[in-house]
Amino acid sequence: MTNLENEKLVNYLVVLDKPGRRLFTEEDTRWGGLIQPAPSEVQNKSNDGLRIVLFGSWEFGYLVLETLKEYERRFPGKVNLVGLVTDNPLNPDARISLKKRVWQFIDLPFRVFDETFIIESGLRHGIPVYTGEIKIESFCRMMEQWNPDAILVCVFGQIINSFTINLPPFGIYNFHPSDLTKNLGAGPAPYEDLVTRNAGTTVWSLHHVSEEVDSGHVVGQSPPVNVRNTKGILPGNSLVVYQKLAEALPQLTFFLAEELSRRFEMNQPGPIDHIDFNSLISDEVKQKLMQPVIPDIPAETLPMPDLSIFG
Amino acid sequence: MINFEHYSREKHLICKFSGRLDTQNCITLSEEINNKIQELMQAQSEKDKPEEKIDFDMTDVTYISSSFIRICLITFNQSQKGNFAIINCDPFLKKTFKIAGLDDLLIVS
Repeated sequence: MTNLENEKLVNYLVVLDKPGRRLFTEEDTRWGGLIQPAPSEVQNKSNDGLRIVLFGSWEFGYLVLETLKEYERRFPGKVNLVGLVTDNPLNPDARISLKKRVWQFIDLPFRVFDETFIIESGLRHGIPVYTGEIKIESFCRMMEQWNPDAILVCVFGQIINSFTINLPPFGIYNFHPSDLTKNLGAGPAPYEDLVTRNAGTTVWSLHHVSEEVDSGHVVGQSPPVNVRNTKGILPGNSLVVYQKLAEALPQLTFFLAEELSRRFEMNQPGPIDHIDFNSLISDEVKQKLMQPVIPDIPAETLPMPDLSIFG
Repeated sequence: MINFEHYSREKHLICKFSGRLDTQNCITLSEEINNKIQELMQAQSEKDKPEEKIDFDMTDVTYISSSFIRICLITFNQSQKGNFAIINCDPFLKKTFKIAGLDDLLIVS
């Protein structure tokens, strides 16, 4: 199986799905490329509001994307998704720590499913999707064109360099599923940290992105999320636990988008120092997060945000 | 887009697809297949998966999208082990399923 075949697979399954979509590959990227949506997918896209680029992949990234899309639909002119940058887990050349991160638990057909669906979802929203290398000249040029006011990161396998970190005036934020204020679970294996500590709950940390992985200032944390099943045991399948953790992500994304768009409207650039998610998230949601993990096997469908957060 | 041929005596369901199985078309296809499988389940007693062998016949298919890969994975999970196959693929489709790793999970011919 050659790498070219993997690129062709994405091209075939996604780009050819809708007439007018186009794939561009710059000479300096060793994998992936830029997929532009079809003109018919772009025609209803607004260009107003805080410009957000999402660096995300897998189900967590998909959930953040879907929440932002819904936010843009519900509150036109407040946020404006302008681009998506994803992992490329289908290409063995992609340097995304495939064997250390969540992808190691996911068989190839499900990787195909996860990766192509997030690309498909971005294109359907009328935004370009980039699947290639980021520490190269052509990516920097593309980011300058996208001109993001803020960047959100959720499950992204490449180290983000200072050029990208310093680009958005309203900051760059990563969602990480562990308590980084206590130095727990940083890096690619937060589930393994739960196992080591035999933890009963965990939290999400939202932190500034720095060049060192998961080490930036923590802006806020989710309420606790129960990671044990009805028998009081931490499930042996990491994907089941991650799918439980996913329940908190739309809430964090929603309130981050609220705060960013508020600052944008007030013309107050600069990174957010603190968000008190605990006071913003309802008691009902907190109770739901503390309910035990129910399934023994991962769900077949991709997660969708609970639309009740939009009121 | 889809025709069902159900041979109840042989416990065999053939789903014959045609045309472009793009994301838009797969929305309705997914519902139709799910409804058919639920129908099979209701006709049998206390089993969580249909007894039927399920074949996806690809003879007249000109394109498959990632949504169709998803339909295959869901149907694979809904059927009994060894009872789901994708048949009559042209060489290009067969290669696509191979690159996507489906030929490791299920029977593709």
